[in-house]
Amino acid sequence: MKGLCLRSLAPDNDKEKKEEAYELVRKGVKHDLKSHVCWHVYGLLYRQDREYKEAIKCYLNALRIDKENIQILRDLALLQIQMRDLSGFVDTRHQLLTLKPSNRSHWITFAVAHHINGNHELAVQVLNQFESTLDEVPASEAYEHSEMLLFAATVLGAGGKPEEALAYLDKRKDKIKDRQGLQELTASLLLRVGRRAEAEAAYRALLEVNPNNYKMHDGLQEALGLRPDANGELTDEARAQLASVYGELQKQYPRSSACRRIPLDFLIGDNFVAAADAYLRGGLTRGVPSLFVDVRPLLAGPVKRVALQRLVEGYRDSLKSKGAYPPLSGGDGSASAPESPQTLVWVLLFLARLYDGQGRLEEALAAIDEALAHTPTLIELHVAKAKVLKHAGDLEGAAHCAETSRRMDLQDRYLNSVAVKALLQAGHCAAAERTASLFTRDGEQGAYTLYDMQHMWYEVAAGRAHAAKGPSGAGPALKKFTAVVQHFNDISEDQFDFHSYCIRKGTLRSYVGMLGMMEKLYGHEFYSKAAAGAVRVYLSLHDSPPGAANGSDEEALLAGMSPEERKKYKLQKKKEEKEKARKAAEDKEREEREKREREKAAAAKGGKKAPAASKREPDPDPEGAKLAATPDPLGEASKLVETLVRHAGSRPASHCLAAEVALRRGRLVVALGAVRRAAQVAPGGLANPDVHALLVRLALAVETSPPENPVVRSVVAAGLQALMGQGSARDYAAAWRKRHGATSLAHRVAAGRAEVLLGGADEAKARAEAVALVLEEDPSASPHDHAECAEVHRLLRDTWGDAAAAERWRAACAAAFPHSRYFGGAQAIALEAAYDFENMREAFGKLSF
Amino acid sequence: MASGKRELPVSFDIVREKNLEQLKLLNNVIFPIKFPDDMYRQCMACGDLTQLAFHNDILVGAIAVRCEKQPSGKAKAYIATLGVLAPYRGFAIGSKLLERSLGGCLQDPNIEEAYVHVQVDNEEAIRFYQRHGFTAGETVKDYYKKLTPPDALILSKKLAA
Repeated sequence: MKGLCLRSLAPDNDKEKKEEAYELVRKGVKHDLKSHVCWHVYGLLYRQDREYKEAIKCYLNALRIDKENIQILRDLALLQIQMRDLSGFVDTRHQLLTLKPSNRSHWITFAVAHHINGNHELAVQVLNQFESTLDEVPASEAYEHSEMLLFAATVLGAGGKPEEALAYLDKRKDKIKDRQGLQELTASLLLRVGRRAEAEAAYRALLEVNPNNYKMHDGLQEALGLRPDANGELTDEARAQLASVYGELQKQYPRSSACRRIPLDFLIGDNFVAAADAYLRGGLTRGVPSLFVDVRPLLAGPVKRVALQRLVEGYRDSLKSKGAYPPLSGGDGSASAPESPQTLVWVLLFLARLYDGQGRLEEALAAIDEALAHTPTLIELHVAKAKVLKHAGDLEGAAHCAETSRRMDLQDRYLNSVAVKALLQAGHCAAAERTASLFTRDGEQGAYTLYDMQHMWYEVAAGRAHAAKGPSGAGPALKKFTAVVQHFNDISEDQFDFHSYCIRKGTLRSYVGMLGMMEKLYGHEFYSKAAAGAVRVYLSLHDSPPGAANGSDEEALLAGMSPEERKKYKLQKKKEEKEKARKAAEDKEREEREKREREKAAAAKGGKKAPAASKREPDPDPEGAKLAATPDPLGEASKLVETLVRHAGSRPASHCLAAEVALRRGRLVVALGAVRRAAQVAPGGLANPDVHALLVRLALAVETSPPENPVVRSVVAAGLQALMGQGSARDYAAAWRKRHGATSLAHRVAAGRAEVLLGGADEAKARAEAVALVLEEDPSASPHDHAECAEVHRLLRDTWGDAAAAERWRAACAAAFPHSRYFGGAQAIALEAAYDFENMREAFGKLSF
Repeated sequence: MASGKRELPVSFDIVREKNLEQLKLLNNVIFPIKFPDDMYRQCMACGDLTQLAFHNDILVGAIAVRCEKQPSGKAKAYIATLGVLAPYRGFAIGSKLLERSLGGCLQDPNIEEAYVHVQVDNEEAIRFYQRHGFTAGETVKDYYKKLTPPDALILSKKLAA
């Protein structure tokens, strides 16, 4: 019986076989409840299916029968650390150590267990005891031993005993192989115990190794007591000292860019201008593409921004008139040597990006066009132009510029990525995938390879592009977003192998670092983006379920269009159908061809071997139709929202989405909590427009359908009162509008939305008021975000159904964004007719490497 | 392009699939004619006769040359385009390009002659080629369909054989 169970474990890809295996093992367990082997096998089965909780139960059962089975204990420990059952992990490792103290890894893992359980002292004791049992470390294990010593010192430091850590390291420094790691650790410990002179010497020695390591610079400044205070301020005295320190460092390391860049952070006034002048000239003459990104942090403050802009504009004027830089700031006024003609191009590019960052888009485009007329072969110019056009509201033009840049260097992966992203933003999803597939191993199955490579930025961008297409894009969008969510689950799974591997290899410091990273895994930006994207799609699926009202939806859509739009829509639809038919035919043809090839290959092998198994199972749901057809979109959304709130609680969007889901599910207490937390983390608190819109909706929901349970009702009422004060929701919204209603476009929209919601009986009047409030905004008066303006246009036209207002807004925006294709700006650029992205069969530039 | 006093550091490379678009873009900016893709393919096939000039890793000039087989079994090198972006003229980049390309021709004993078409009124270009040892030959009537004057002068240079 048992033998059978074991054998059935082997093929685990087959669903039926899997069921059978479980059945058999269960039978085995039933047959002999007292057999630890049966329970162990049962646990292994669960472990293979990643059901770790169940597996742990099985192992514990097995151990109840056979208390001292090392193999089972070991497996159990792996699961416990994977599930972060820390106290259980410590216990299990303790048992293992008592059972077999001769094993080195048992000692070390026990120490690790104590360390991650927060018990640093015990961890060090364990390590010390183990060390005392060793007589001589064999040469083959010297490195592992050294890692262990460094780990012990790190643990001491983490346990609040830096002095002991120093003493510990000092005693064993001959045995430590990682000299660099030792030096860095010692230096940081010296700093912690306040032995500043020694710390300074240590950091200076480390700078000798690599004068461009910013961490060492930070340490040196710390040791000298010259770090800015909590507000980022330095005293004049400290600034002067730093300046002289860096003057010396620059002499000592003339080739170090860090030594020249860092003073720009702390210098002010004329000293700053002189240092920045020298720094910028160096970068511009050499044509360093990253110069702008390098100095971008300095642009946050208005004083330095103005100074930098004045400098670079001075270069431009002087280079144009004299072909040379102006005399150096703070220099002796002597004329500069003539520059290469190319310097002017880099100066123009720098200025374009500077203007772009300030929303001065037309000036930015003018600078780029001037540079393009000068040297059209500088690829960075096309990339920058794509970026500015995106901000100016011409996504199609941006895609064209990005494509041009990509074609200029077909082997450049960065340019390929830029083009793919621009194509997605312009809505050309198929073209984007084909372009991205140029860099995958197997072009035919590009999508698979992109998934296998966990190509997350692509999947997030593609998901957003599909989602922007409305209901028809829901399936593919969910497919991409859930793929990213799945990647994170896979990454979390992948740590499983490292629990034993890292101990065996003795890389304890990296191992503990990895465990810490895993704790924060789901807080990663990509996870938040993908999960939030999926939640939004689920919400829209809930709000307008597909299928049921499909026909009438389309009619309603058509009715709302002008004749030209209707024509365009129909044409588009016809095209889509044609494309679909063509694709289906292509797929069929390909399948048949592959089948023929397979048969041929099989015949060539003399029919000995079955067709190669390398061919992948076709994805049962390539377009995500099944995902979009979920009967419970809110349920799916709330699962994701839960993770978001738990791991990305510092992002306002997490709580806003949680509130959206809770409002739709009628969970008012949950919604209240989410709104409260959103107000805590969002900039502006209750003045934040997103928070305000949600709060008003919550108040309205409570008003129209108060919770039945009296306790819930009083909790919600009290909570609302704490946020909005005594008055009614109307009073609160009116007061908010008075205070914040004109702060920004987003504030206006939030106030307008509240107006419409609370309008009650006289909906038309409320809507007119909201429209008037929004239209007071002048998009030309200050830099606006094009995407936000487009959003407002759709709100006016579709949600509020005011065509005249929408047209007025469009005209105002067309004036503010003359390059905008969306608003029909007067200066939209000419497109390259040869780039027909929608009917692209194959991306340009397939290289035969 | 006469002064030749100032030097600009340039590096050279041949044209390949991955940077072919750059050469096209460069020529589209410099010349009033758009050359057919075939011409570029033929030039690319001729290895190091076609040369690109880079300043700071940025393409600023290029010479595109293709080999033409003669009935005698020998070959001629035809200079299809030679151009440098306007701001980078006067640094002898064109001369360097021509010298490198002709140097490539000399490596191949089969190539007996290099020749080029120049618009008849382009005196600067004619002087440039004469300085490099080319001699003026016949004039081809109506060579350029879209330009005025449409006539082209053929300049050629015998290569040591």
